[in-house]
Amino acid sequence: MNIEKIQTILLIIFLIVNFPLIGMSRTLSVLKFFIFQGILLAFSAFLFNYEESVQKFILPTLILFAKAIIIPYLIKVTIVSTKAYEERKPFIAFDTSIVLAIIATMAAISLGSKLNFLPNISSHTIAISLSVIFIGMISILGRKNAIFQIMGYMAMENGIFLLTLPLSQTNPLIIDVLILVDVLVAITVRKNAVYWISKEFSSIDVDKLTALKG
Amino acid sequence: MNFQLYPVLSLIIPLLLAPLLYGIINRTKAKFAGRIGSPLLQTYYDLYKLIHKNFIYSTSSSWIIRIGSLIIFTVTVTTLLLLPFACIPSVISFSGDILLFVYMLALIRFMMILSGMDVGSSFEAMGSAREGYFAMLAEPAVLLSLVTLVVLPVSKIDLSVNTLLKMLTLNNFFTISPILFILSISFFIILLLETSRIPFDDPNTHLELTMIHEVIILDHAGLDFALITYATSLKLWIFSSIISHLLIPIDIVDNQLLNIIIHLISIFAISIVVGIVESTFARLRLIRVQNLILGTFVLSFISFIICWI
Repeated sequence: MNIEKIQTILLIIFLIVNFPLIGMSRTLSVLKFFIFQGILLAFSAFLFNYEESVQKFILPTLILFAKAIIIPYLIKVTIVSTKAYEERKPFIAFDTSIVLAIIATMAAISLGSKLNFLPNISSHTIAISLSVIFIGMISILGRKNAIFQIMGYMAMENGIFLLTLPLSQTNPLIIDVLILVDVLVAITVRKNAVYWISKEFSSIDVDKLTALKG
Repeated sequence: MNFQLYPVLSLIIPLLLAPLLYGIINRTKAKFAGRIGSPLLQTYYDLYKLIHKNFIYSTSSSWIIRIGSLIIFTVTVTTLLLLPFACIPSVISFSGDILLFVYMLALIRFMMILSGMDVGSSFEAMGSAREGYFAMLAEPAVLLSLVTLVVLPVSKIDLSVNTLLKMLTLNNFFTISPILFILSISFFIILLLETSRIPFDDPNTHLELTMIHEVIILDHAGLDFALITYATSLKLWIFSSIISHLLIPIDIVDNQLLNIIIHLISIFAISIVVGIVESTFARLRLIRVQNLILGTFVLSFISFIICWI
């Protein structure tokens, strides 16, 4: 089994994980798939780096810690503290969002086969990472629960990371680390914001946040 | 004996053995519940008893219910003509008959809905509405699954059900069997929907508000009811046969008789799996049914995309 085949299988698993992320209504179940996506991302970071260097091991380890352990832990703490276990009335219903996800995947694939701006990124990688980005976007647009919006943002971030992974072997390591730190800070700020909003208004329904404007 | 010279066997075997599948399912369910259960041949006895009963029609019904069950039965048998069985080729096959196959199934459902609405009872109309709604969601999934079979990177003579179901051989087993496995899961869920088994519909219940298939055939009696029961068991056979062809290579053994027996055993095994699903799962809420059917569509879609990658 050569490395391209394993990469293809990873991309297929990325594609499969997309659908539970968009189609489930319980935050804790979606969080499990989100953790799985983080692990997949770390594994692909390991595979996409062809060069035998220290960077090959540092970056996957950092991704694994940030995306599969720390961020999910922060999200879980927020879910438990705000008791936002389920999304009841989303803006876009779950069935509709699955249909939208299928359309988005098809759009991503047709885009991916046209975009070949960089020689060392395959069109499959572009297509699948675009589909992950679209899934995150649908999740942000369609859900009222703020937890889902955080996870949608994180899924989008995962997609962008997947898109730039083939570039990371030429980039200095510090850029990837800085992006990870940036995401960690963002998620910490969001966690605290959501917690205080839920404490103040006893709800994290973003539909009600419009009442906040002066 | 060279079985490939007798395509009519692929019609006779299902016609003889299809009602046995219900017996196997009921036996499995009885074993799970700790009962002895009805005999394996119970469906044959039921059909024999029903054939000797009189026709009773509601006064508000028209000629549609009288020809409905006949059409359902004949169309099901015609669909069987397209289906191969193990090394036996199908009776009829031409390029592009997968579309005919899908729309034959749609015609069966259409006649079922019409004859349900014909008697003028509101319960049957409700069941027909549900059947129509779920079928509308399931049909794209069946079509997409068959299209996935068409685009699989395997050399094909023509696009007929006969060729498509026989493409899994020992040579290409490791290349295409992952895709076929995903497809067979999707076909299994469609089987449960089409034959009204438990996550979608409870075949044992007679509470009008919870059922789909049983409520439509509530006003059928005698020979009509026998024909519909027989046709539904044939439909169960058709889908089990598709799944068994997707999972087991067509040339798994050289001996033709042994090959046929292996496929028969796999079809019976699928019935046992249906029985296990019925004993361990609860019926889905009606609102949730569409999510599961959509999941089937997503599975077919994923396998389609895998073909592209």
